[in-house]
This record gives sequence, structure tokens and C-alpha cells, in this order.
Amino acid sequence: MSHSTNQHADDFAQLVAEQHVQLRSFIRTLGVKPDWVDDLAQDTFLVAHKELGSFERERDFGKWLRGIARNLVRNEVRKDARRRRLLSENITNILLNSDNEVEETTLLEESRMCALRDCVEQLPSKSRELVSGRYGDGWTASDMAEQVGMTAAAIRQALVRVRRQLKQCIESRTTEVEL
Amino acid sequence: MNKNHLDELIGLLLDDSIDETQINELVAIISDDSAALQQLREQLILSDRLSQYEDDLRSEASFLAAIETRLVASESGSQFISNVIRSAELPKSNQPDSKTSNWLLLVTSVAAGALAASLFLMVFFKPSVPPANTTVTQLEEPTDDGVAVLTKAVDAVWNDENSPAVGVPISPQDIRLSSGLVQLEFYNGANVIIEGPAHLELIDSETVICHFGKVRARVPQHAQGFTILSPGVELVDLGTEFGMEVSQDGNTSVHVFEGKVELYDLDSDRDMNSRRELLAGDAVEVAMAGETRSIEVEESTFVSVVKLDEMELKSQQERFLRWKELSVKIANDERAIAYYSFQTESTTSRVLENQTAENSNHLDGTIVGSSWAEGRWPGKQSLEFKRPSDRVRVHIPGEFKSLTFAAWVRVDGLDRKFNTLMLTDEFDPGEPHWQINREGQLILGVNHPDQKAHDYKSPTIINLQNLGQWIFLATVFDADNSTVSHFLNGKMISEEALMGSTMLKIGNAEIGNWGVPISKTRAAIRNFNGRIDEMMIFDAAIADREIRSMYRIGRSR
Repeated sequence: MSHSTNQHADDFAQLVAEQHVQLRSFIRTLGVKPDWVDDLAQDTFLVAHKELGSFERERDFGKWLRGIARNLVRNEVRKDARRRRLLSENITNILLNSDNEVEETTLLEESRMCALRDCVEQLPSKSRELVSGRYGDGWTASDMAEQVGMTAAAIRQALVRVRRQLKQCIESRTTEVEL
Repeated sequence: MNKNHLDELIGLLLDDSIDETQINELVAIISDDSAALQQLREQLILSDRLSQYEDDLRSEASFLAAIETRLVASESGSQFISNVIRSAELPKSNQPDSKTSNWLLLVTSVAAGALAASLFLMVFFKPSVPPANTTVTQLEEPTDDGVAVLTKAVDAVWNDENSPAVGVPISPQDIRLSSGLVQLEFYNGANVIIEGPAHLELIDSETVICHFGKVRARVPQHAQGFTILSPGVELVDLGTEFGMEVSQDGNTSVHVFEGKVELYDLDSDRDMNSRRELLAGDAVEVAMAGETRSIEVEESTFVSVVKLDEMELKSQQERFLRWKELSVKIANDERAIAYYSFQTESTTSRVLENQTAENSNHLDGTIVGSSWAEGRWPGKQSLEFKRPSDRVRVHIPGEFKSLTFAAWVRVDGLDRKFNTLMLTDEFDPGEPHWQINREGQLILGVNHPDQKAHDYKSPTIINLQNLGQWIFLATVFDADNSTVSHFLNGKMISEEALMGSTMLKIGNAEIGNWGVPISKTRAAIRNFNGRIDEMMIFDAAIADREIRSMYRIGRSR
């Protein structure tokens, strides 16, 4: 008895540690507002914790969690008072109805996680500054405009480009490792 | 489809500055262009990845802690606790039975929560260590598996998502600092300053492994025996002050500034043959291969406690200056209806000055009982609330559709069933009560005349981890969006739909206590235990990102 409950806690702790980074990003891709991503990810883990007994070990844990998350986000669409957790109901509906396992997992693999740090730290200093302003300090483009001497539109454009570069950088690094 | 236009819309979306029309445009594009949809999905993933990487509010540590808290709180959590307790094989007689008083049940469940929490953390961070034998004592009192406290951090950048916070106990773990300086005070009394980049491993309260990096340790007599292991040497301190530097390739240099230390070959089990004694003024370099040579002692290259204090003070002064600029902005913000910056010319003053440009004097508060104390930084003042009589009386006229309360507070304890931030004297229709309950939940109570009075509650946010720390609390009553939301340290922690549309009014009210209504002979005591060093009230719903930015500028470190 004591062994199995410990085992249960161990399994769950390991599950959270292994999956939380990918799961959080996945929830963002369903159109959840940035400030609510972590809360929904926590909801997902709480459901998973309750259902852990019914999970078969040989199945794909990440896929199972994503299924739970998808259901929670569907509930969000239905609940009126909580609508604010989503960027837009329409966007979420499109994202929910179109996602398929093959596409979504390409950027959500464990090996690609470590690469992010290297890629971010290699960015040119101007891009690096924009990234830490936007994501570290939470400024919007117009908050930063004066300080970095760019227009807000140019900053947003630059950040779209930076994210695209980072995606390529991460993918190329992962390929190198695989070779 | 015009790709630039798509980029522009995605850019706006991920900047949180997209409007309704632009959302509809984006929806139109992605509904029939799968490549555009894929672009959006990739940008969303990367955006979240970057936010997880950059935003310390989303660090792995705080995410895991939140799950743990929620598990403990939820039904499945209590199951989890009982499982953990059962697995620790407690004798049955120690379980609280149904006759136990509520009080005991509360104490026990809090303690069990703490126990479960520490076991939970244990499985997270130290999977190889089995849970310690549980004893009755551990059930009755929260336990602390810490070995040291992080007491100072200057420009510290951690290499790890799971970065320790100042003031919080540190359990045995790896410490990876990419730059900056931190000071650890070990429970046995040793004081260690680490200069980044460094990688240390805390084993217990008297043993540390330094994989690389620069440390300076001051070890008082009673902490004798404090040991640092490097890749080439084992250093045992005999009551002294010394510096150790371990290079990336594993060479160790040891500089003794005071007292004496002993060096042994690594893995020699302190073999007397390998023993070398270094006295004040001695310095040696030990190569990975084992050969040792004497070098010049260089005290000045190791940052001392005094120097670190100076550096910390400087960085605090910079924060204080940035806050002062923000403070002027808030005072001139038209939405501010009352702003108490808790700064005074004279600490004998019994007036808490309101800083808003309008109605400035009328809104001044009267200090009763409370005394002035230090706030977030040296030079920043605060009021300390300790005794049941301590309070600040204010009068804030007007009727408001939306309201935002925000305050920097240091909660020292949750002594009462309700602990006041700001309460109106009565609880008449339209009056808000802003307080924290004993369970550590932030509450906005509103007396809706058309409905029943309702407590808008956050989950538990005050816990053993942040007692005694400066935290930023905010609550937004948003009539336009019909919501009440609570914020801790710039992050929204809960949001609830409004129960009724009510114009709010404050009138006679108190900060840190509940004014006894004259009509009532007895009123519950709701005095706040702790310090407050800034409080502001706006007659508008302040946006999430503004609250976040107030936190970032105002935080103590």
C-alpha cells in the first residue's frame, strides 16, 4: 500500500516536471490569454492527478494531457463569465477545430526546449533587448517605443521576425543533435 | 493573402494591443488559409516559450508551487495528503478523530498541508531521497528542510528557472548563478558570498560542493567544521575567513584572510598524510592533477560582506529612485482618488499624507497607535501595525462605478479571522471591505443592495513562504466588464463575475483596522499585523499590465 501511494506521488511529480513547459505553450496555441495560460495548465494537471489511476502507462502522457487541456478550453468557450480567459472565441474555435497531433508536436518536443536558451542568448543585442522588454518586463511595443527609438509598429514587426528566427534556430539545432 | 498584413495582425495580437476589428480580420484570414493558421500557431508557441524563459512570474518554481498549493487545497489534494500520511505509516491514534475541536482540526490540517507540501517538493526536486520518517511532531508543526537562507542578492541572474528568492529558506540543492552576487547564511552560522558565474551544491548546513565559481566564507567559532569540497580538494574551516576560487577546468585556489583552514585531498577521507594547514595570509593553488603551489593572497578580489552591503545599498537606492518617479506619476494620475505614499518628513508625525493633487489635505489620514518603521528600502518609510488598537483613520468622499485598490504590504501574521487592509466603518450598501482572511485569501467584500453582500475571494495567497516579505496586492472592481479580480505581485490570480451592479462608496474608513461603529457596542477585532508602505485607490479599473508594471518598478529587490 505505502509503496503504491508513494509510486503514485512519484509518477505524478515526474509527469508535471517533464510536461509542464510543453503543456503551457500548447495551451497558449489554443488562443488562451497569456495571463491565464498557467492557470489552465494547473487545472489540467489537477484533472490529470485525479484521473491518474485510469491512465495506462504505455500511452503517450503528453497527448493525454493535451486532450484534457483541449476539453478545458472548450469549456472556456461555453462559459460566458469566463470568456475573458480567451483572446477571442472565434480564434479559439478555429484553433481547436484545426489542430492535429502531427503539426502541434513538432515544436513541442523535449529536445527543442534546451535549444531555446542558446538561440535567445545569441540574438543580436537590439533583438535581445526587445525580447526582454516584451517578455521579461511585460512592456508593450508602445511602452518601449521611445526607449529603443523605434515605432511601435516596427517593434511588433521585429518581434514577429525574431520569433520566426528563433523557430528556425531551434529546429536547426535539434537537427544537428539528431545527426 | 498579403503576408505583411498577416504579420502585422499577429504582431498586434501578441503585443496584447489588437482591437475587435483587427481580430475579425485575423479570423477571416486564418479560417481559409491553413498556412496562415500554422504561422499563428508557431508564433503563439514561440511567444509562450519566450515568456516562460524571460518572465520570473512564470518560473518553473512558482508554477510548481501553485500546483502544489492547489492540490493541497482541492479535494483530490486532501486525498493526496491522506495518501502521503498513510504512506508514512502513522499510528492510527495520531489521526484526529471526529470529536476533535475545529481549532485542532484547522491546526492539524494546516500542518498536514505543510507536511504534504514538503513531501511533494521532495519528490519534485530530490527524487532519490526517500521521505523522512514522519513523526507526530512533524504533523503538529510545519517543518523546514532548509539548510541556509538567501539573505542578499545584488544583480543576481540565475542560470536556473528555479531561482531562490531573498529571505526564503533554501533546502539542499544546486545553486547556479550566471552573474551577480548572493549571500547565503547557513543555519549553522557560516556566511558565504557567491560571485557568479558559479555552480554550487548545498549538501547540508555545513557542507557545500563548489563545482566552479568564486566564494568568500566567514565562519564564526561555533560554525567550525564548515566544509567546502572542490573538484580537487576538501577544505575544512577552523573558524576563519577565506576565499576559494574554482576555475571551469577544476583548478582550485584558496586564500586565507583570517584564522586557519585545513586542506585534504579529495576522497582521501581526511587522510592526515594529505593534510595541509593554511594560516592567515597564506594562499595556494591546487591543480586538478593534484600539484599544489603557493600564490599571493588576494583579498580584494573576493567581495567582502562590507562591500556586498555597499553594493546592495546602491542597488536599493536605484530602486528607491525609480519608485520615486513612479510615485510622482501616480500622484498626478487623474484616476487616483487617494494615494498614500507613506513618506513623511518627520517620523513623529501623526498624519498620513494623501499625495493626489486634488483634495490633497482633506484626504489626509490620522495615525492612531501605529508607529513609523522602515519600508521596502532604506529611506522608504512605512507604518507598522501591531496592536489591536493600531489604525489610520481616513475619509474618502464620492461614489464610484469602478474601483481599484492596491498596496505594498508586509504581512507578519494572520492573527484574526479577518485582517484589514482597508475597511469602511460600517458595511452599508455599496461599501467595500478589502481584507485578508485567516486562510490567507485576499477578499473584497461588497454590500450589493440589490443582492446579498458578497465576498469576492482569491485562492490562498499569503503562506509561510511570503510572510514577512514585501508583496504587492491589488484588487480591481470592474463595472464595465462586470468582474472582480485579485492580483499578487503583478499577476492576476483570480477573476469572478460581479454579483450585482452597485455604485461604491467609502466615506469613513480605516487602513489596517476596523473602526468600531458607534451604533454597535461590540465589533470584531480585525487589526492587521505587519507593515504597509504604499496604498492607492483609483476610481477606475486599472489594466492588468499597469498593475504588472507598478509591481516591477516597485518591488523591493
